[in-house]
Amino acid sequence: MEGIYLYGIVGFPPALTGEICGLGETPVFLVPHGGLAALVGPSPLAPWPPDEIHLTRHEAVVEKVMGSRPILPVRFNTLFRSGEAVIALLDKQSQPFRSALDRVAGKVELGLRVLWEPPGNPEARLDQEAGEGGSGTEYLNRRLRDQRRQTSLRAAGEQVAQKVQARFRSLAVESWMRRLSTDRLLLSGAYLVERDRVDAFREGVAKAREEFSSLSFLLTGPWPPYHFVNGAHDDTGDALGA
Amino acid sequence: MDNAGSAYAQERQITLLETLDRLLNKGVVVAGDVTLSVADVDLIYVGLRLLISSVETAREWGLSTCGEVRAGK
Repeated sequence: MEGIYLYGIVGFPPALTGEICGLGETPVFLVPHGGLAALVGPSPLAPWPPDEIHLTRHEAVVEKVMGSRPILPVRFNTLFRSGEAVIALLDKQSQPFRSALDRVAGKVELGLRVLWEPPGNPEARLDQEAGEGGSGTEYLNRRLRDQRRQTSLRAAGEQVAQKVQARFRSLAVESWMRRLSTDRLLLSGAYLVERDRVDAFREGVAKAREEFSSLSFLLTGPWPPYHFVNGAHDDTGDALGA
Repeated sequence: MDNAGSAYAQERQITLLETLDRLLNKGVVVAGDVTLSVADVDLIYVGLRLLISSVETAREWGLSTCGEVRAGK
């Protein structure tokens, strides 16, 4: 059964320039309604596998449109049964979509990951190698040492992360970050940056590379503003407030 | 593979992983009227792990018009 796949939400009316090819090699089109338009394509009513081909195709469609106008990127595999259902969404979410489009207009998202070599603790590594064996007391001691190690790691990481983050926050309109999601990944950041400030941000990263020579910086983008569309979520969704 | 080639492949792989992180975890969440069951979602994440461990080469992903064969590497 044929359904409709939603890639993103844009303001209307801007005509699409040229044909854009979406998932399943089918053309992408706009469903306009009340000053907004949904960027959609025909699709079977079954989830697309989240593999390289399909993820990059979805992303490429959004990026193609992002070059010429603000777009709210929608999560992978958002499917509708009919055009009416898409229009109902535009109708119901009109206000949040409009404010979200205003928020991201003229801006792009940059991604930054900062890796560090966590302060080593040979003892901790030996503990891991020791495995599950040993008495209950040994086990508890091991757990305690591990916990202490984690606490000091977090404290040290927090200090470095704050220094680094201070650098980039001023170059962005908004920022989002997560610290130490793994021991090595000190900081994962997303930054909403004015288009004409992207080069300044790149220079900021170059300077940071020199200043913090023990850290590795991975800068990606420009991305559609994936991290800055919360508030545009549909009320009925189960991920509200996520 | 020469250095430029492997740097390129690495860059494409990073791009893919960053894309994946955004497309599956971020972006506007709307309740499409086709709801994936819990089992479907689990399948997606199983696929994800396979993907992360198996992506060795990165591909061109320029947009073609529909019906045209996409450039691959």
